[in-house]
Amino acid sequence: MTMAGCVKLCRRYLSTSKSLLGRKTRVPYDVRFPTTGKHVNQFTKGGNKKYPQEYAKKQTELGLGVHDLGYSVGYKKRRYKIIPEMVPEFIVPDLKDFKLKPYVSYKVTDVVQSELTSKNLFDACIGRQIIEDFKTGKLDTDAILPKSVEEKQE
Amino acid sequence: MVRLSIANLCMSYWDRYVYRQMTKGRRRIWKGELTGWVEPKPPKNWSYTEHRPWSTSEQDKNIPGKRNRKVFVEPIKQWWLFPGDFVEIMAGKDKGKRGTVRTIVKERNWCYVEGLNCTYRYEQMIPDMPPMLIKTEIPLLVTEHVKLLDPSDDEPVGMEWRYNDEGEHVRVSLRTGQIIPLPHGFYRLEDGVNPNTYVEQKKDTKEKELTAITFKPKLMTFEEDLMEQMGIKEDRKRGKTYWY
Repeated sequence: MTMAGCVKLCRRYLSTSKSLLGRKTRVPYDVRFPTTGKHVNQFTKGGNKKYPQEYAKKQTELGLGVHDLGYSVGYKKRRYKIIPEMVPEFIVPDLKDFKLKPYVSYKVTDVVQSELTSKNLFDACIGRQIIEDFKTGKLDTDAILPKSVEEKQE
Repeated sequence: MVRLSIANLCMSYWDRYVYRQMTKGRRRIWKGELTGWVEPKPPKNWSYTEHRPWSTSEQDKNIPGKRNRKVFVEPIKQWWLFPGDFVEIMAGKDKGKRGTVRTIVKERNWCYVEGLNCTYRYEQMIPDMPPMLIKTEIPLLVTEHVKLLDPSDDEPVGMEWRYNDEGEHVRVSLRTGQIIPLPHGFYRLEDGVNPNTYVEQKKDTKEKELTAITFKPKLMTFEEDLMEQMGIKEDRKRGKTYWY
């Protein structure tokens, strides 16, 4: 029995795995990406008027704004209560007899300083003592100088 | 608002200030978790004028969103003209006249000669009142329209940078070989200060205090040094930590 024409069958596929497999599904939002106001606003499914503010990053998290000093209290008369422990205290060193000023005059020549290496530290702290000991004769060279293979075998 | 970034750390204080002025009105943008904060950049074709980028009149010409035309400028490797130079104008209305250079705009190869090459315009056109006439200078191209004068001939001449016997870099006229002296504007820095004539103020550190070495190298960490200085004694032993 011949068919009049070939009919392409329409197939629909089902996915039973839990992972997203590279597909960007937003039901209600994609867990891989951060949630912002556009996913949870009142016009989207499952959204609310209050959610965007809750999901928004705080200014202090973005490196802007000022940290809270307290909290707001009261129903009829709303006031802001400051907690003294939340007020930041700046610890500043005592600048008595400090000769450096905030600005540098134009008449100063450029200061060029090389990097402070571990060798410089050694020379300054230990090297000097070693040279003095060597000159006076107190230096124990047997303990410091490396031994040759023959000496070690002995 | 330009924060500390790797590119900005390498710039000098003055360059950072100018960069900040050129990005005024533009804020940094949060471009998502991957990119993060993107600092503002000055617009592509900043239109430079005699009022420098830190002035409001130049910033008004470069508002965010305004797109200026690109200006093609002949690159000059070494500048030979400085404020205070006596020059002769070779083109335009005031051809043949001489004057001192007032300002220079290196980004456009311009120079403004004091009182010469001007236009006139009327302002405050109020009925029944005589109008106000204002005279403004037009810039001249340093490469073509202006020439330095030879000290012996007193004639316009081309110049070249050469080294003299002492090893100093000097401007030499091409026709006679005479040295053209440098004006006061040569010693001026980018921010307009002449270090030779600068008067030191109260808040300036002087060379003696700046170059004095007060660092004493010690064989201990910064924290241990602080504890020693402040008299903090720590007898407790650190708890064991494990790496897996």
